[in-house]
Amino acid sequence: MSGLDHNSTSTNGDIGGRVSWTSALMALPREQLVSTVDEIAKEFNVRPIALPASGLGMLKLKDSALEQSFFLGEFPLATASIELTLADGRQIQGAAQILDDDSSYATSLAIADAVLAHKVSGFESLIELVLLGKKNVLREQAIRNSMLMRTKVDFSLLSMADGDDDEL
Amino acid sequence: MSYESLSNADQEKQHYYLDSIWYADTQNEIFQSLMQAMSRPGSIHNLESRLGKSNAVTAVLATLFDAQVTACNHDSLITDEDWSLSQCQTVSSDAANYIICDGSLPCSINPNLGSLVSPELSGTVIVSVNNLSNEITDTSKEERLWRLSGPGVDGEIDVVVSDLHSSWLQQRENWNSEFPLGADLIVVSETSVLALPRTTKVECLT
Repeated sequence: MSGLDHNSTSTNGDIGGRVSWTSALMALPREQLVSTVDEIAKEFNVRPIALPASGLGMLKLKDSALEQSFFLGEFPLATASIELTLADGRQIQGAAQILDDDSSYATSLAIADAVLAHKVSGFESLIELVLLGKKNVLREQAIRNSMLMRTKVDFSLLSMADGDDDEL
Repeated sequence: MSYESLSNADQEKQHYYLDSIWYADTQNEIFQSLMQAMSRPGSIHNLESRLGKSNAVTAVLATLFDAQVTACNHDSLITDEDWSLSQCQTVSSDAANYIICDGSLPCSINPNLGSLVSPELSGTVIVSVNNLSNEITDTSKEERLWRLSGPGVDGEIDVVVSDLHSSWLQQRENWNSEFPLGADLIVVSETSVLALPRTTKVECLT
């Protein structure tokens, strides 16, 4: 049985490492990914390794003064871990943990993860989706960067103003 | 992290088949049956309509176990696939919240009996037997007639347990000899469930 083999997936040409596939696929319209995975999954027997689940993750931090834990906030989280049995009897695994509340969507991403990582039937169409998704991620990143640049404040001007006050 | 179980509405959206026992609505119903069984010792609850293709032991596991639970699959009654789905932490029987055992084999476990401060932290033993009923049905089988009394029982109630090794009742008496320390038992047949809290007195008639 093949486990989650990170070494075999760290280099995959221009689709990048395994760690970036899920975020790239999530940058696409959900229906586009789900319909593609639905088609691919027909060729395999899919079995959950752990129950797919969705819920709230709690962001836990320690305060810097008393070193006591507190919950900064919560975020939606869905997880899925699956095993695909191929026609030749081989078994491969995939998983996904996403900031979303839809466990079936996480399952679709976990199946995509397994298919891409082990390059089994259907992986070509998923590579196209990953490349498309990466373009979307880059475009989104560029927009965010430009917005961030516009919010930059030059605090050195404030210190000059403070100096003026002191003189008064 | 707080997780929600799969709802029955999710069933159609998935890429795979999962028995109904793994969905929240069914688990809620089974949990209610277990609560009833615990509060009314000796009452036998038939889970057959909720089991799908699974047996009652797996249904109890699906209902009670999650990632927070420590458990011991003592006689390997549960398949690796189902054990993995439950996401419980596997530990030895003396440290487990739940221990699943084959009742036809001699009792060879030492469950955690809790402490005087926290007797509720004791282990619960889930024992698989061949059949549960309120009267002797087949004299050819290894059937034991128990007369139960104690809290939750209106006077006395008789139950018949098939193919349970004689050592179990003796061990249960030992575990519960220093109340409030002790272990609670959930006796499960292929389709039914019966609970024996530590407060229940069991008299073996056959």
